[in-house]
Amino acid sequence: MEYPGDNFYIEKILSGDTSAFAHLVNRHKDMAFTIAVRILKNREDAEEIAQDAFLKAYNSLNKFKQKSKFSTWLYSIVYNAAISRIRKKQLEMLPVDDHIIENYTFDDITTGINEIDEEEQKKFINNAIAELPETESVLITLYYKEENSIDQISAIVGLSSSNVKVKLHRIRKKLLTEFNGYIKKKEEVKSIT
Amino acid sequence: MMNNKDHTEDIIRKLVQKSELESPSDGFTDNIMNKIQTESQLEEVKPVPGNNLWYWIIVAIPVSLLVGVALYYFRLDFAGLFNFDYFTQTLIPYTRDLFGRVSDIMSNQEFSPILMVVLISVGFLMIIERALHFGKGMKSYLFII
Repeated sequence: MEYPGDNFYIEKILSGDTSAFAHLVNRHKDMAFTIAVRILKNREDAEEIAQDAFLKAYNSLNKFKQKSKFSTWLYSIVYNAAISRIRKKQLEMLPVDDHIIENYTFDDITTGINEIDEEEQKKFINNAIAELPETESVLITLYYKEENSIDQISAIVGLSSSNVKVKLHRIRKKLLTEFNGYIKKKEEVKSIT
Repeated sequence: MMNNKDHTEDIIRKLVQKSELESPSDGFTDNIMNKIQTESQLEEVKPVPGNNLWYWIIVAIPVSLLVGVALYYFRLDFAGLFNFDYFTQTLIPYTRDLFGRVSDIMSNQEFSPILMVVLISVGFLMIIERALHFGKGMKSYLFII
């Protein structure tokens, strides 16, 4: 069964059916909340920010021109709210580790992946993403998990497309290096036992 | 054969797609919908005139003051308003006289150039602010008043 698109519900809300907004909330709440959690690293703050963002989106729905996707517009509200909350709290930003040592081969990693079960891979990637600096964890989630285009991500986070591409490239390398380290550590443990 | 870039892309895509999205608490949607409902009820209770109405009220005040002053100053009666001779013989000379007086008053005043620049800038900024935030602006303007 094909579900109606976001614009269907937006039209309903604008014509006075307030309850239709619940469909939009249910559809996008996980991604909106994930963006907020990735940035704030705190579930309570993230929930507050995500709720405020939905309310803000509801109150400004008549200004939404539908040129972009509703989700792109909503996620940009969440992202900006979370970033300004961080700035307000003056949390210390994590330093970005630009120095990445590439001492892996793809064969090692491919073999390593096959030796690690699905659940463990899931655990590894969840932790690795959570440990990335705020914007990086949002970028990687939007790109691979939500499958947003570079232009859509650029609109959400307010960076240029080329900047998004460069950052994604760096994140990929960083995650791959970390994954390689994880595999090697496992192999060492295995060889000892 | 895949190059390094494609290989990296492939591995990371497969890995990240295994990651899980975070979920907010169970009452997340209900909380939002309750807040929306409360807000819309508050709006129903407090009838705020539309922006257009506020706009006309604000415009009407100075216009009616001007008309009142003009009626008093020129001692016009409404019958006289439709009399062509009254316009040519009384109203136009009086208007010319009024502009003359204003011009005399202004020419005798010495305004500091800084004060003039400040006044013009403030006026200009207010116009821009009104133009940019017309929707919200009229309400907040009245609120400040």
